[in-house]
Amino acid sequence: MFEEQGFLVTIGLEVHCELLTETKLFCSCANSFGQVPNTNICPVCLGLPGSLPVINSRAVDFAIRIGLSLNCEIRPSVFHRKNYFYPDMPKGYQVSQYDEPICVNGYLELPSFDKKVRVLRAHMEEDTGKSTHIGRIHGAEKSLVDFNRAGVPLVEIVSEPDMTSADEAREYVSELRSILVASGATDGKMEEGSLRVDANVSVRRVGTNELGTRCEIKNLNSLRSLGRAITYEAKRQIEVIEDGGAIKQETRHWNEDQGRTSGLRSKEEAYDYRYFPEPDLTPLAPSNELVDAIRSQLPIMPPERRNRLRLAGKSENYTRSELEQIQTCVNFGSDEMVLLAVSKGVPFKLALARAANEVTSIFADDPTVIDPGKFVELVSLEASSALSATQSKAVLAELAVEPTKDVKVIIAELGFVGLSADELAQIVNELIESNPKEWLRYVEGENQLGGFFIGKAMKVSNGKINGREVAQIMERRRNDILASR
Amino acid sequence: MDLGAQEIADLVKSSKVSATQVVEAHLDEISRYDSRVNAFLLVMAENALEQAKRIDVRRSKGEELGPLAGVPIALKDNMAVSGFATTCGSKILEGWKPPYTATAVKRLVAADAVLIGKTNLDEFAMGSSTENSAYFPTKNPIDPTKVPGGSSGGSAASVAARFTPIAIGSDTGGSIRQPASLCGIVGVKPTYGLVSRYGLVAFASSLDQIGPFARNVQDAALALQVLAGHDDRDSTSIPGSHFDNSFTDRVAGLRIGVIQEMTTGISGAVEHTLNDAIAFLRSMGATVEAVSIPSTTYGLSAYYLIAPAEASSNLSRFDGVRYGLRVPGADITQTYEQTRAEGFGAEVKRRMMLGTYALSAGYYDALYGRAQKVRTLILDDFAKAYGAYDVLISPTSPTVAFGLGDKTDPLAMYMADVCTIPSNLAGHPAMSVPFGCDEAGLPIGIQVLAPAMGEQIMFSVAQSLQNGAAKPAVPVWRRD
Repeated sequence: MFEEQGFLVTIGLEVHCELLTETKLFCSCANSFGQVPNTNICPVCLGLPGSLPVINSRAVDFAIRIGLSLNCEIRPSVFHRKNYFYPDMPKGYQVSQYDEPICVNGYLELPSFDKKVRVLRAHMEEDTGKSTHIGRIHGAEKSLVDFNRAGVPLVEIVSEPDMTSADEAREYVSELRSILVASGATDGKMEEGSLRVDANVSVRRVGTNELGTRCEIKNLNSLRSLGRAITYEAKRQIEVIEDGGAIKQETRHWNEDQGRTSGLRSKEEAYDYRYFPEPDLTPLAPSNELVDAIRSQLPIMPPERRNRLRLAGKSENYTRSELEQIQTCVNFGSDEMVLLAVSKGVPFKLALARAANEVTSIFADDPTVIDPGKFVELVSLEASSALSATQSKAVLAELAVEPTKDVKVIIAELGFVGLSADELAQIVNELIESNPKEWLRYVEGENQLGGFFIGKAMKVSNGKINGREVAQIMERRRNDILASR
Repeated sequence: MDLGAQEIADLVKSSKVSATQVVEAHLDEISRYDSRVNAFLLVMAENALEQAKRIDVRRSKGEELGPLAGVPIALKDNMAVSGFATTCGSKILEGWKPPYTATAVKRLVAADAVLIGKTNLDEFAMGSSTENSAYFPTKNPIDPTKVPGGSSGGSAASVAARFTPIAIGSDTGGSIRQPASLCGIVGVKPTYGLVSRYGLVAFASSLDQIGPFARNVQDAALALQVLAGHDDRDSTSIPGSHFDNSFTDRVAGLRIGVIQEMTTGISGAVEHTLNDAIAFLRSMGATVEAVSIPSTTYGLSAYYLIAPAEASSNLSRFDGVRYGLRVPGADITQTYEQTRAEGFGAEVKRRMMLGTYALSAGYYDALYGRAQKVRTLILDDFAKAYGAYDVLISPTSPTVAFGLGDKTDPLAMYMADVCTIPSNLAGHPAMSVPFGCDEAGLPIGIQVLAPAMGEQIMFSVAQSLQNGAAKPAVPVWRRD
């Protein structure tokens, strides 16, 4: 969107992901959210003198899961200490992986852009505590520190600067999130901080190859913030450059209310974290057996699930809305039932539409409630015209209330039992006799009067008829009349 | 008071003496003489008597007691004991009471040892004389005008003064062996990973190791047997490790190397004692030859980059935010600066600055990185030497105990550990055994070095040396 102005935007993302372990990374405190401040702590995560870290092997398993899900190589890795002072960092250093991370050289696909974003690395580290500043972030009167989060296991996923728009960045995070959730390593709740995004944004003039100076934007807690912040920041940088200024490499804070980024530190500070290997931990060397075992346990990842759906639809050119439906099903987890329905002969588009639209809205609270077998039974009935679309949706709604109820029982209770062909023909005959003028106009070509008859039929039958079948009968009768003329 | 740990445990187990009697007698000795030595920062009298009473009650019920039944033990004050002040000899931790107990201490208590008190040390174990304590210097019980060595000087003094038969120290570059040598007692630095570091306030994590002091080799071994063993809370603890306290004093047929690089720059008396030790071991049937381990000459330099580097990071947590001293400033940065400026002593600051430089961008490769390469070289050289020799020996300290206040140049003080540092860099076990003394009667120890997990053979050689050693030095008040 900035190309008209003569600028290209380059974006790289760093995503911190909290792992779904039972306990913290280096101690046996619970890894949980929302407890009373400073109650979920022990000598180790408080960094009390003399305490020592012990690696949570479950966290290592999750990191490997993430790496494999992002097509990374899994490497022997070393924990380092990143040294700096901050009140919510109890040891004066953060234990993180530095130049030997556990996962390297992966990639992630952006389906709407038909593009691969390279994943430079994914490394393990411990989270810090949480500071609450009373007053403004600069010159706050006082700060409160909660160490419940200190030591929570994180994996930081660092992309290459391969994205060129806010939309790509949003899709990257959205796709990453669904992959991470599918891997089982995280719950992906951005609003609870399970997934935290920092964006590195730079701009350069069209025609130049060298990347511009980048700014890192922190505090992006939603896809909306991410998109807005990137767009704002790119505009800001372009304005600075067009005004003849230079971009200063810095960390900037996104203010959601004001819709702008601001420099975090007033003075330029070059940080030297003095990384060195953490002597209290031994290097991690995941065996090939472990990596293979984890690989074999991984579920099918969203990109492949998307492909399976596309293949099942046997189309070369999907519409934009169909592609969106495919993505929705994959994100929601209703893709399996579409495949099942197609394997039972249900038309792909019908199964996809129901799974992407009705299933996701009706079962939004708990996607696990719907029984795929019942879904297939229902869409099969709809496909055979035994149920109308309206009826089918009504049955789904009932299934959300009573998930174990038999589909046929629901249909009977709702009075959707289909009429026999004779009964239907009888109804149509009676309608023609009682509405001769309208019928004549229909025969003469006023097709819109078909709807008039279908509506009457619905009324007479209390909604039990299938409108399409009524239309078919009327069509046949008209053809007979026209042929006999 | 001259009873050793094994003797006390035997007497208590057989009900000939109660643990309470033992503890009372040792507390009495401390209250009588510690003013002349200043070994203790904290005497845990009440706790010790309660612990002794519980042991006696269990004994009276016929319960079997542990291997250190009723044995009074002093702990260097850098080990956590739940509910008792742990200062590390620093003002920055004054008043801090840990809510948990070090694994090594738990093992001692589980073996029915009695914790008598916390001993003085150079601040955060940085020093070789115990003069760097923020509280007071400890004096050498053999000659109170001299230093006891350091950094575990309080623990060494406690054992040499007969305040306790056993004391526990920590050894990062010689902090157990050097004071043992200067106080005329036995001091052991075990293989890195043999004793859990959980609850030992870190100085340099990759070098620190807890070990015992005792007045004889057998007691030191008894204590090590209790201390040693894998701990799930320490990732660097060796899986399945243990130390079996059964060894002979036989050295016949052993090949013993004398580290050449550690025989230069030592005092005449030390050289004399080393030669006596060599002659004695030969007379016992060992083959004793000179061996060169060239890289050990770089040990001191490498150590003074690696240890301060790790220390600069380990000591970052003392920031005045959560515990210990806080000197409030206008903002958080000023609070950090003022707290740390007031809380740390000069030597600690010096080493943190050294370490910060060693890790800084642009200097890392030339300093810390190169020091780690030296460490690898030392390991390789030791491996070569152990291809030809079963154990190695050297002086423990280049000199006898020096006068309080004599060494004002930090570099001169650093030289005190020149013989002991290579074992820490290699992670190998080493111990000091008293063998001789100078004309003034100041003790001189011999260092016995062994390959990783070679404690058995190290103790055999130490036991043999003990057989040939000069009469043990006694505290000054016993000679008055």
